[in-house]
Amino acid sequence: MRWRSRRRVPPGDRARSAMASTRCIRHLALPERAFGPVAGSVVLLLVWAGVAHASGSGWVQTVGAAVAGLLLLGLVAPGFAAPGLTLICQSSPTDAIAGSVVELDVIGNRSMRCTARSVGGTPLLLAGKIPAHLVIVPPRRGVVSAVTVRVATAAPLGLLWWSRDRVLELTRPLYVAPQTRDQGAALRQTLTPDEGQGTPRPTLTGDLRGVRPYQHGDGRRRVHWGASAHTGNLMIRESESRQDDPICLIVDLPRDLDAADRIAEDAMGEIVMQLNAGRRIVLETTESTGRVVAPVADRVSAGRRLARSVASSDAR
Amino acid sequence: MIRHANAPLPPEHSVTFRIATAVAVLTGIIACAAVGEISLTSAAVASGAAVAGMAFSYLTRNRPWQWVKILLAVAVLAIFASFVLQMISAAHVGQLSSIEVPLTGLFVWVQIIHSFDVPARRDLLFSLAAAGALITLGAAQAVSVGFLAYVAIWLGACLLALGCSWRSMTGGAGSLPLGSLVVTGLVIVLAGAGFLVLLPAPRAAQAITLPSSLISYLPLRDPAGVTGSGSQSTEPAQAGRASGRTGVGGYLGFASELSTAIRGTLGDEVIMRVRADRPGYFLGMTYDTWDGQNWKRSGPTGRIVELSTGSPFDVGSALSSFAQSTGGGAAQNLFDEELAFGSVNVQTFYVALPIANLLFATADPTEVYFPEHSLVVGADGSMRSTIAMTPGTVYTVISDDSEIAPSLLAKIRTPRPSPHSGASDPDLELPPGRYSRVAALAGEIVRAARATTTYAKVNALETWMSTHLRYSTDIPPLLAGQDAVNQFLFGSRVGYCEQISTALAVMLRTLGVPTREAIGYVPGPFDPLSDLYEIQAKDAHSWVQVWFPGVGWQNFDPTAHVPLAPPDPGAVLLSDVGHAIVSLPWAPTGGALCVAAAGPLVAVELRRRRRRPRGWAGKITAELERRGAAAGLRRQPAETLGEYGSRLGNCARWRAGPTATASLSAATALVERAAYGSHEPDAATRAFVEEVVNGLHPQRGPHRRGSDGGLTTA
Amino acid sequence: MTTDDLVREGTVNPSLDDALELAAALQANLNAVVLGTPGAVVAATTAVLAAGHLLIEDVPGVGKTMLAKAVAVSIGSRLARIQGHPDLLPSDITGVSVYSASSETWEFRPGPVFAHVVLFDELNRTPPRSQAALLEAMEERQVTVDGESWPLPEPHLVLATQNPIDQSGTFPLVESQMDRFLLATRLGYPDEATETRLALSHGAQPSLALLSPVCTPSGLAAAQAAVAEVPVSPSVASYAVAIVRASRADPLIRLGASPRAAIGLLAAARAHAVIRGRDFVLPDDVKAVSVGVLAHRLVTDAAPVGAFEAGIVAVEAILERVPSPRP
Repeated sequence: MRWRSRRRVPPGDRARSAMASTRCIRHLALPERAFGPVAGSVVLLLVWAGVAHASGSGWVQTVGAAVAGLLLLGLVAPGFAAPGLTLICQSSPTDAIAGSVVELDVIGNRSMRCTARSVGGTPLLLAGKIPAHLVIVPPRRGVVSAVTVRVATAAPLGLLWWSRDRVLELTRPLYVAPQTRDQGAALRQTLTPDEGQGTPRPTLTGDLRGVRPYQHGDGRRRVHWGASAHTGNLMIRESESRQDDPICLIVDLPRDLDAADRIAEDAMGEIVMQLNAGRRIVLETTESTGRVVAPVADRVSAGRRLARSVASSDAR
Repeated sequence: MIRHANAPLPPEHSVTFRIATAVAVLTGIIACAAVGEISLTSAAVASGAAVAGMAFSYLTRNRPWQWVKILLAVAVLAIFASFVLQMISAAHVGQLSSIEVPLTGLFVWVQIIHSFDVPARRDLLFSLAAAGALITLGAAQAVSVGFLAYVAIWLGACLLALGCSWRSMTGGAGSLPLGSLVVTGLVIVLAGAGFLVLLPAPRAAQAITLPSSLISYLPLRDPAGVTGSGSQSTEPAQAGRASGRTGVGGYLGFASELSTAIRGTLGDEVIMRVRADRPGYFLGMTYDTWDGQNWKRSGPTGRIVELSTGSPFDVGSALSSFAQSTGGGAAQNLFDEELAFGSVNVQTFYVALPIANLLFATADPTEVYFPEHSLVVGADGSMRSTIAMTPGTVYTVISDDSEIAPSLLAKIRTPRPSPHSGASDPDLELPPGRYSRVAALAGEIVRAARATTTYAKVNALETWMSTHLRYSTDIPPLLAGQDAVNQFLFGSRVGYCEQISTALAVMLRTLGVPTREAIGYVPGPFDPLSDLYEIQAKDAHSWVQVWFPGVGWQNFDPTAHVPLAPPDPGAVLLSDVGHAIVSLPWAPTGGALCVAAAGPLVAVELRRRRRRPRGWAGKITAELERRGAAAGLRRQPAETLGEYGSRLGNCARWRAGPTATASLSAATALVERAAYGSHEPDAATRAFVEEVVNGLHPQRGPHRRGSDGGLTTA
Repeated sequence: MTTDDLVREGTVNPSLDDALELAAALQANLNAVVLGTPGAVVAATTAVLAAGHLLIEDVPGVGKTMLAKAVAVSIGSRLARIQGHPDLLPSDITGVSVYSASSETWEFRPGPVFAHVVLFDELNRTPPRSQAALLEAMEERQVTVDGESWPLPEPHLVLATQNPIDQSGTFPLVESQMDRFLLATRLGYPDEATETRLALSHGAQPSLALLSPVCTPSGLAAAQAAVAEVPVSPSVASYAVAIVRASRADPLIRLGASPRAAIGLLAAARAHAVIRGRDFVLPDDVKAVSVGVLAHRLVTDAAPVGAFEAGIVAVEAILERVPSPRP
């Protein structure tokens, strides 16, 4: 018998449970804020044509044609360069917390500007093939194995940026743990055990509680010879423990992402609080492969477990 | 992020960027000097100042001196004020064209001053744009193909500067991708050529001002006469010997008489460049008297008038006063209402070699812009300068060369009096007793063609000549006393423009049609870059003018086909390229093309075959080993790829420095993954790794083998 | 093979990904306790993931027992400890059959070897007869007492420590038993700063008490299974075999490594690859584990004293000699 605090959250309203809001990936390279450069170029070329025809000089027109070629290439060439942009993640961390900054070691094949799209982040300018840190801010709990990155280039002349999306595969899954939310006294109240106080688990140390039959591996020093003689079987002393009984925390997540995040945050807060209090925790979650019951030793492993967990109804 | 509007931009540290910008600016200044917009001295001073300014900006880029900014602002204001004053005075004189030189000065000064304050990337880009303005100012005055060099240098500098700008936009690290910049430059040149093909050529008629200028002032002793060329101020009686080549650029017909006995070929040196709305016969002068071997001018000296009004000269009214004095004026206006479709043809001539003191123009010049106080006009529409036409002279003629429709000419049936209403008409006179056979031939041709009108007669004779005579510049000499026309028509039947046009003129005269011999130039090849016709020495030409009562003198050219429509620069460019391709020797070119086409195919096939057993990872490893060995770091047999990669990455023998190896460990990890994992690398990964490996270039110079080349065996 | 392919049925640690996590956590745990000897920590982690037995050889007092204890605690399983001494009987290891008066039958009382993690301290102070008892348990993963076989629990890991044989009162391990250990490692003395810290903090005991398990025994078994399925490309496998064969051809080595050594070399290389965060094996992995896997198995011409050192030198010479595969 375990000292158990069960907290089951009912599944959310199915109608409201929106699917994950996956922003579509734009493979097509498109110019960014093209009006200014294009309009400027057109005005410049019109001025040039005006000067050429006013002066009647063919050389002005020839220079203008060269400038037109320069501007055309400057405006259009990035559109041909953008599809060739690739970005590789060299190393990525394993753990993160939702809403906090994560740095990915990325390296590009040429100079570009990249901004994480599927998660939050700040733009990063990559100079050539020099590694840099791409900052992303995962907005919510979960396992992130790839990040959609908008890569942009203005090569070779820097006149107009063209961009497209790339999927950046992380070197290892990024477990985005929920934020820790302290639920205050209310939950702590519910967790305060009163019915389980009298059923401590037998442990090796502490006050003597009773005896039990021998199991392999038990030390000879722990044999209760008197009881053995009394029963005819080898009996082992059992002691009583006070604080190191694990708490079993069951996390059932609804399909609604926001509600699930809230619950995960609550659970995380609870786990952190209990771990700080020196208690051991066994966490029961639903992962895509099924139910998982396992102890969590620290907040990192708890974060991973919660990041992996899915709605109970989505398990295979 | 909030940035204040006047917050300083980050300083630009790239020296290459600055040098490229400085080269663009210098090219602009030198180009302006080369076309005469600014003097060479100012150009030298300006170039020095611009370079000094760039150096100063570079040295103070981190902390620009504030008082320099104030000083520069004051200087800019002063220059603007000076420019405005110059413009006001120019407007007062009415010479709007004269603002061009102060404008160039303004641009150069602003450029110099600005070059002292270019700490950031954006300032450098502004400098680059200003250099574009300078090169455009130069282009406005450029006429020769040599200007292409300036455009090319300027374009190259712009490309380099923009490439540097892009590099500094992305952090300023790494080497400049020169290869891709070269490709970019080629594409830009192609695109520019495409634009040039598509755009209509600018027309001189749309000009605000009409260019005219003199480089030197060399007065002639006898302005009424024709000087041979350049500084020879006397009128030669006969401008050439009867044999041998002609002199430089000189067609010997521009003299007091035209000898048909002279043989020889003319060179292709450029005499003049012409910008014209429409190409046409650029008339120099005419001859009316034929003596069997030579054409001469006749008539009283009163048929020449000297205009002293200064530029522009109203030649039109002078010519019409001639017409009235000879009584032809009323008749000339006969078809005025039907000539309404005629239009103005503006022609600007840029003299490139010393030539005769003739001002060329298509028929019926009305106005001449020539910066001299006087101009001599002949009754035949020829114009002569009172000073020598030296290279660099520019003048503009506006002609009203309405083309008379053949249908209109064909209407003129009734013989009208010739312009010289009198007993002796020089336009009809022939040496007596020589041309009975010619007259018989001409009459027979005209009768056979049932030609009754003058136009029909001319056409019939031209048609007969085109089928029975051959054009050649290599013809037998004309003996002394021999008649040129008889020798040509009944003897050799081979001749060039002089023989052909003389024969037509004589035949028409035997039929009673007033004719005269005209000499001048036909437009030479059209240069699509400058939109100018380049008149070469060999474009000198002679043709026949026929008098049509009520219309005037009309050009008939039995020799050459003259393009009647203005050419399209694009078409000319394409046809030039086409001609160049056609003129290639086919056997070697075809062979080279086949090799060039087959080579890559064979290489691709060989590579594919080689790759099949080894795989991509093996290939890229071999390449890495090759490059490592080139740097003196050979792979040890027991060394794994990862160890070798890190050894390569730790050595400092790569040309690109640490950037070359920054991603080498990542690349080797990807190769290992491809070689030993079951991950098939995708195209992006391959491209990345290949780029990294191909980016390893060992430094030049001797390697110190063995210093860190061996595997450490600690 | 992608990570997804490695996902198998099960509720705990279902994938290689979990093995990666486990490796990292285990290493972190061991590093917290065993200070200044990262090589030994890697070796211990490798042994745990490769489901092999680990021999820790060094002079007393450098923390051998501490490392073994830390491994046991980290795996979260019961730790059975056997203290080797000259009087140790085989039945003290395997267990005994006792007569039950109530059922009037002989009942088998399993010994300490029936635990997931068995720490055998001072193995070479145990007489050969008792060592032989351990031999069967390690290789067969079962115990035979009175003609009856009892399977050992999975996973089963023997961590044995021994003093170098120049200490008095020891029984040299038989060669076949040496071959049973997947890896042998040594700890060496910590550096001065670490030693000072250890001395001040009363050794590593306090940090040992703070350790928490990183997995459950069933989780470890799943991770071991995942590691065992890490693919090895043929060129890497032949590289490992070439190293083993080179040890047999070496004139300085009296007895080269057995075919079991080649199997162990690849198993350890797989585990090492997982520790390095890869799901495929590189020649570098084979290189990295070769000394640990092979050095204790070789019988060199050197005196029994310092045989292990001679093995290390011989393996390093072999690694310099055998060409690594080219991709």
